[in-house]
Amino acid sequence: MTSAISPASSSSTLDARVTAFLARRADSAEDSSATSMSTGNTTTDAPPRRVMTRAEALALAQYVREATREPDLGIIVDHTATAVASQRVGRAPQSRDVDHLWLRVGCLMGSAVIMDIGTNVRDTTMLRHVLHKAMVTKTPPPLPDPDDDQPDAMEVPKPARYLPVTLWHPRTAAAAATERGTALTQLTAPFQGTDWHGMGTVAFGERAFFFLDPSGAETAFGESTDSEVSVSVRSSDGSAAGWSGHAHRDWSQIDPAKVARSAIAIAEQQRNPSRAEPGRYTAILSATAVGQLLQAIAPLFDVLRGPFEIIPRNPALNQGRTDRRGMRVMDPRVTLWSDPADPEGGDLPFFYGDGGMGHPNPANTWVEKGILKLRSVNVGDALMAGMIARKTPWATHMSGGLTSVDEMIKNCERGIYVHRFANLQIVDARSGALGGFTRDGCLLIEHGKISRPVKDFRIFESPFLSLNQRLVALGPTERIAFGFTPRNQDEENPHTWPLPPVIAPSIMVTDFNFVALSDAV
Amino acid sequence: MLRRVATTAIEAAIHAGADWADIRVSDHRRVSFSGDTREGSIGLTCGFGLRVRVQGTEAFVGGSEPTPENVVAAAKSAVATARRLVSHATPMGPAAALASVPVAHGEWRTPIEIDPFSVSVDDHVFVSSSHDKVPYDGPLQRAARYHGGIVESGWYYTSETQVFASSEGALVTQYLANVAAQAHVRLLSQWRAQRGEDFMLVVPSVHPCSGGFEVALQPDRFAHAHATMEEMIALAALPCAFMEVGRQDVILDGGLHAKLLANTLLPALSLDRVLGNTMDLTGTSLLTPPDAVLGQRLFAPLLTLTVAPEAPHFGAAKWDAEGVATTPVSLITNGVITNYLSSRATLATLVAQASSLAATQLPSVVPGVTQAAVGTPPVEVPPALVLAPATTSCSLSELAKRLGTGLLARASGWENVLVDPDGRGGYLTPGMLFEVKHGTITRRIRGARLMFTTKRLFPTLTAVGDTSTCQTPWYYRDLPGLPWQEAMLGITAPAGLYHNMDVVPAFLELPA
Repeated sequence: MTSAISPASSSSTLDARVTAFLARRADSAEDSSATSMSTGNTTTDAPPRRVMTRAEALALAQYVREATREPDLGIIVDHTATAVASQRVGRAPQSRDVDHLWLRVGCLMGSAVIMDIGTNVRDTTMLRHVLHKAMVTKTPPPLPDPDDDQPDAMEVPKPARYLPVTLWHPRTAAAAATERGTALTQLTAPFQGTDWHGMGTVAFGERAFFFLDPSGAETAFGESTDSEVSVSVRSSDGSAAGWSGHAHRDWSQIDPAKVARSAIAIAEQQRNPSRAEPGRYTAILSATAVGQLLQAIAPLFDVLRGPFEIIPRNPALNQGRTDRRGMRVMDPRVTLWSDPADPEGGDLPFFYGDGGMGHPNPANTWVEKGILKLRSVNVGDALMAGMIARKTPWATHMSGGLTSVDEMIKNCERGIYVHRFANLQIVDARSGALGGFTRDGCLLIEHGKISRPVKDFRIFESPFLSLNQRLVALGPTERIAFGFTPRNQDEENPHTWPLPPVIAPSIMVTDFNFVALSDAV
Repeated sequence: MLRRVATTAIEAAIHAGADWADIRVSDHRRVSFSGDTREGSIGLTCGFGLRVRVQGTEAFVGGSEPTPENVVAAAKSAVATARRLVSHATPMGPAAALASVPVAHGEWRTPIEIDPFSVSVDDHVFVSSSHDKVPYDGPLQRAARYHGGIVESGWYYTSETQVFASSEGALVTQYLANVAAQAHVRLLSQWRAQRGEDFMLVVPSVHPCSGGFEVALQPDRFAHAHATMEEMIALAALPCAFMEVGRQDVILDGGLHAKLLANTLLPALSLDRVLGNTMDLTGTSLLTPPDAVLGQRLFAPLLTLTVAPEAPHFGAAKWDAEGVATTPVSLITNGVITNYLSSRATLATLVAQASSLAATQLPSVVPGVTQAAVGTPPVEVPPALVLAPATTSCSLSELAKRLGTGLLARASGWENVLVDPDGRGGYLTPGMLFEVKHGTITRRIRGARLMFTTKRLFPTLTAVGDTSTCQTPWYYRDLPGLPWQEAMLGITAPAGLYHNMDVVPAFLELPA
């Protein structure tokens, strides 16, 4: 991923490369539309990628560096392209294709004020114009103030090794242009002849991320594709609902029709739900629900907050807190890790948020057989604390087991099955307690069988407690689909779709707190 | 240039075979500074968002670099995508129509005095940091020093040139300017930090609005921060206790009241949600079906909620993202739902489907409430709403006297509202919570939050404060649809007194 590069080429060469990229994109858009208009069918030629290659991103970054004449600050090129289509059953479909570039450079302006300039422009003529507009407010810096005791900017250490990862699947990139219509048909066809209301969504994403470090000698580049389908089902009176989804970086692994049938089957189980008394129950959580919990508690692995909080810079504030590394914090059957090269999900192998852009992110085992091994810390705090920087475990993998959900149900005297949650938020960081809601209804289990569907609950529980002394069984793992609901304003998970992959098992836990009833469906 | 790009795109879309098309082309700039730091950011974003319809199927293409070549390519791509969806889609109903609107022409500018992009970086830093250097004197100076009192502010200026064009002949250009600002007073002494206490209170006079750099130069900015610091120190000195669960009458200050509305009624009023068009995206609505909602008094008579498209409200504009003239349409009038937030497509669908609704109940015009981030399609989220305050004098202390005994919830910037996807209910965790006895604030309350069910809560609004209690908090929301885009909203609300809210714990176990 990292490489030393030759000295920057002349402006005319850089201009030419960027201009050539734009011309290629314009031509390919015309070719693609011309082909599909003439045949109306899936094209046999795979369309070119919609996001920049490494060479194109490097050329753009070098051009910007030369244009701004700022040698000491890093440059980021973050290019995403999404292609989405959705259809409410019985209505016309819609599509949304968005190409989004974010080019970011730090500049010294005014009296040594660090300005972070961001733009989405790539055309060199326009880029020159845009940067000039930004730089026009610059005033010459005065002579340094001898009484100014502001510390010098910290040196970002030289990047170590980037893990080799393979997150790009050409099949997914090709499917974005050609297979949305087919996928929508497969998602909506199972509703024919039923009284269910439904809606299906299919989405494809491509991403290219490039970082040119301040020295100009090192770069980080990553590219990824992802795809996801989901189906939501509602009864005509709104009392019953179902949902199913599947996400995979390789589109060929997704079966939209199967997702639709699964959503309808879940909704069928939810007909005529009744109320169950709130309280603590044994809970059987689907893999989707467990994955949502894991993503919600990811920020709490940070060394500066959460149940494992330690403040390395200020020991006086650590009264009563213990460094719990090496201590048992979860059941011995639980191992949690994040590996950019994880074949089931993976992630870009460097920081692209959380501070420290382009800084390598290693594989991390957060909890090993229940023992806390590592906490996350961003680059800036890691430098201050003398720790190795590790990204927040948004993309994470939890160990599983062999117990199927059916077996869990058979072994449950009285409990609640939860298909998924909604709007999970950290309520109390110290205990890791989350507030939120179940969604699409729950199933009451009595004497080893599904007894009846019940209405949704509000929940108030700490997954750290559930996964510690209350874990009964684990099922096989799968990559979960999060769906397309944007985060609640106060949720802390990443803001962009696709969300980082989470691989999780279904689990059975005791004493899960279904604290109150909810009117949600 | 932007106009030429817009008209070129429309021509290309029609030529490619679209039945209808519209486009938004934008040149968007922002500059932001946070108080007394030597860091800021500048963003310069160009973009376009083109919608086409082919046999009722809509395709959208959004991108950057609004050049004639790029938008022509986008138009062809959008039409090709729409055709492909039409050829593959399962049988569906008749093609959805669009509500007709007057064809818009013209220009409009947000009235501003000083263009923030004409101000040097040094001047920006000087002014924003001056907000944080409030000159106290005498006892307040000593108290502020003892408590570690500081003021923190953030200033975020945007300027957008936005061109809208449509195949119906519309062509409008708007020059929009907004300021997203916030300030709060904070007590940051070491001894408070060791006790795990961090007090923060919003300075209400610094808030999102439309305008330019002149907003930061308001002459009374120090006076407001002064008053807020005094109030903060007095509140922080109160004894502290944990609350028992139960039901209490509660005053929500303007900031919390606005955030509650933003998370519950605002999404519920979206017709896209009501019609089920977003069930797989953001969820559905509790204000459904329309014939059981429109014209019905579902909430307290004190609840009047109005769209606020005019300056100085945040996001002021003459036309919305669909080229529809904006109007201060009333959504809820004296507790009666009078309108939904609708677009041209959803209003047409409502009119076509709502056979049981009387003509007088149906909205007759498209309300002009959509907005679109650069390069993304329009959504039914107006940039600003206002909840009507009391017309007679009713300050926060007068509300407390009317309350008698109960709770007072204050916004600090750290509060949060957690609701289920349909907005039917949830929790409100205030920044600070106080016990009120016989009209006087007696104690700070820790470890509690407020639980509510939306349909049961809003009928219990028994009093609202006057304009002196109004706040417009800093509030971002993800606009519905992919890709997720954040948008700032300016929701203004007075303090409100609610009856019998559930008080529940905010900790799994009470801290030692």
